[in-house]
Amino acid sequence: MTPTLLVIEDNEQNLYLMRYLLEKSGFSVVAAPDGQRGIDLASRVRPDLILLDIQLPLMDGYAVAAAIRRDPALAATPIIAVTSYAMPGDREKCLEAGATDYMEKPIDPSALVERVRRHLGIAEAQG
Amino acid sequence: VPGDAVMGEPVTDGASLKYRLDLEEVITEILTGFIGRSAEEVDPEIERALGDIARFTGTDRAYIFLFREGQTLMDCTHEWCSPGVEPRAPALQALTVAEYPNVVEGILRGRAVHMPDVSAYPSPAGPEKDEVLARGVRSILLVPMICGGAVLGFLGLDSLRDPAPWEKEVIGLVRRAGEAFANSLKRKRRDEEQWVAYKRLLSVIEFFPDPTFIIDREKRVIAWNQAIEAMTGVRRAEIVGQGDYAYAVPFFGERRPILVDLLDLSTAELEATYKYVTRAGANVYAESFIPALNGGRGAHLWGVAAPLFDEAGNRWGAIECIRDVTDRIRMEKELRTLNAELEERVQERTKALEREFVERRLAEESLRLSEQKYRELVQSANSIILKLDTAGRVTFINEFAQGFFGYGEEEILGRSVVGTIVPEVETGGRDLGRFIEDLGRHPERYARNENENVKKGGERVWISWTNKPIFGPAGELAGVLCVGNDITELILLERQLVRAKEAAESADRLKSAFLATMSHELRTPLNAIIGFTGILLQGLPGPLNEEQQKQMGMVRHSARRLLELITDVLDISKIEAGRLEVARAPFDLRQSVLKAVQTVRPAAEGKGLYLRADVRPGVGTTTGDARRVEQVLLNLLNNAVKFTQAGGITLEADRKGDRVVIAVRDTGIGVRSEELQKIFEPFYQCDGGLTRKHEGTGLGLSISRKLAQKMGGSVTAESRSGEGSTFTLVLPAPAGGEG
Repeated sequence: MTPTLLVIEDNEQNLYLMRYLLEKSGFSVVAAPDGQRGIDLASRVRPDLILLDIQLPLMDGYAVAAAIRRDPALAATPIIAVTSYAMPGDREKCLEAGATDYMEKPIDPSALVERVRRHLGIAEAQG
Repeated sequence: VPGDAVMGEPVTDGASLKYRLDLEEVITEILTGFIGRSAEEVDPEIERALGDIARFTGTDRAYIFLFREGQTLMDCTHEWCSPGVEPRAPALQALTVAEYPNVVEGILRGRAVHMPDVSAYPSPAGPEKDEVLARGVRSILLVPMICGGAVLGFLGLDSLRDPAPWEKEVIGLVRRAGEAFANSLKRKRRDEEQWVAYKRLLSVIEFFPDPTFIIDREKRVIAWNQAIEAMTGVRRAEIVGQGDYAYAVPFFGERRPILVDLLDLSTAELEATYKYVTRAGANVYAESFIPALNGGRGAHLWGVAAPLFDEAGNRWGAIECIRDVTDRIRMEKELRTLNAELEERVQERTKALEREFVERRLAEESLRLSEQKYRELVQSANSIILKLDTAGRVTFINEFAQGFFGYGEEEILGRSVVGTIVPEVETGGRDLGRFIEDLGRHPERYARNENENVKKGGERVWISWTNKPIFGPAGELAGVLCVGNDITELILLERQLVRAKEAAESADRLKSAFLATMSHELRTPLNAIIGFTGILLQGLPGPLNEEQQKQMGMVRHSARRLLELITDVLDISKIEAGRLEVARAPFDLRQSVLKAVQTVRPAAEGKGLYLRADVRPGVGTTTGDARRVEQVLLNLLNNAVKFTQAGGITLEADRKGDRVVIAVRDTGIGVRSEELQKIFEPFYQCDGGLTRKHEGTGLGLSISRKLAQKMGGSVTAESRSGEGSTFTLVLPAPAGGEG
């Protein structure tokens, strides 16, 4: 079965980039443009992995990660935080909020796909 | 010896020599029998001796009469009768001497009286003869008993047989026996008198309330009164007669000389030996503490000892009298202490009074001076000085305040401050009328205050006031003393400062927000550019031709350079603003070094350069900011690759004490010595200007050095132009931080 990924990203072009890259890499992608819709979608769809932008309007990524972790059904779902802050302590803050992993923007397409596969336990050769 | 009175026949003197010798022997025995006899032994001895004499002389009765009451009466005190002869002594008591004139007259004159035949008793005979005849006496010999020239009585011998003449020798020797008896009796009587005197002495001593004892010449205790029994617990019967310092034992627990034994010492000897003993005449005095007394609590004793003499002035003993003065000494001590305290208090008070007197005089003088100074000071001080009454009316205003506010004394004294120098309402809206009302009533609540004031011309000023209550003579609140300083300028400055500070803070917040926004906003489009370039180059949307591939590669390269530039500019801005923060967390420095080396390896190999890394075992886990350490290492390694055309790069990492030293050595173009310091300045690049051939922001080394310093380390450079460079990163790595 094709793994379903949830991408929470407010920038249209970046979202397009992610969706294109991940769908081309064989994943099914659902997307939300802000935190609240991302949380709702996550509980409804129960994705296999979540890519979460930290710099979101209204509700930031830390709060979104924490809210997702409060849903018992999503307690073990891998969350990869993606941030362009690149400030000291960002990584720790993301992991504290409940993220499983952390990547800095700009992302390298092949590195992203490789990271997603690793968290899903899929061998690279499959792609 | 006067001639003997002889009645009747003359005395014969034809006695044989043998008889005389025997008589002599008897008398000697009689005399020696009295030697060493005590008073109690005298009477039996006399009676025995009377028997010896009677037997020797062949008489039937031997007896002694003693005179008394001035020789007016006499008693038969001793008598010996031969067997069968009736004793007469009980009947011969208290005889009137005058009734026996024939007998006694001679005796009293010291003569022996002998009557060989009583029947020839001279006339007038009277009761004397009747008495003698009644005894059946035929012949009598009476000899006087003389002692010290006094006739004490007489010794008599009665013969109941035929009258016999008394031989001269017998009479003489009987006289001698009489004298011996007289001596003994006299001594006995004296002893008896002494015993009575001793008894009297004892009764007197018993009466003494003070413990007292008497010793004789041999230092035997002869008297020990009730008081000393009570003090020592030693009974009289236990100690009387004891010698060898027995009296010292109850006091000192041993036999030793005490006060009474010091009587014979010379004054000089006494004073030299005994500190507490004094002499006054024959007496010695002492005072000492005896621990054994009072049931072990001890007692202070005062004692006096005196020698005792008889009427002839011979020393026969000594007396010591003791008094327990413990209470007295205690009281004296208390009294002395009290006296001393009292004295001290008096002295203190005297001193205090003197001091007070001096102080008061000084105080009066200084008060006078200070009042004068105070007036001058208050009037001319460069401070506003006012006095208000409790209703807020001005009662005093100094010259400075008059000048400051523009009011003359006559214009303002007696008027309320409100409406003159205090506006009804402060610019800020505070009701100063009510404030002044409260100040007048409770000045203690407003030790300091700041409020707006107004000058006569209407100019508003700010004054900082110090307020003190003033009290009247009965302690009642009388008003307020107010001292003020013009702080108008200060208030204005403060307001400007607050505004400036608010502006600065706001600018700072804006700057922070700007940095964060820039970081995000610049990266987001770059993310898309780099991402899509990557996708295109990967051929995901479809294959690219060679030219498209080359051009997309250039886009990606430029985009990455732009990202580096943005990152460096943001870093340097943060550093300049002092906003750069470094993390402090444990990380594996070895991994960081190897990761950085791996990152630049493709670039080095692409240029045909070797890249060697030698990380010694001492380099391991430490504490710091892993990302920033990696950033610095990457910068140094990238520079090395960038400026080296041939040869290669060697990285050596080793622990030196509590620091880790990482040296990056290259075989590149090197740096000229005059440029070595400049390369750490922002935006500096060798071969500067528009013609430079190396890409880069020129910020890398500057950022690296600042980051290293921020982490407590350093970045230094050594180089010779054309011979390569060594850049050294030193980081603190406490030995304990290693895992």
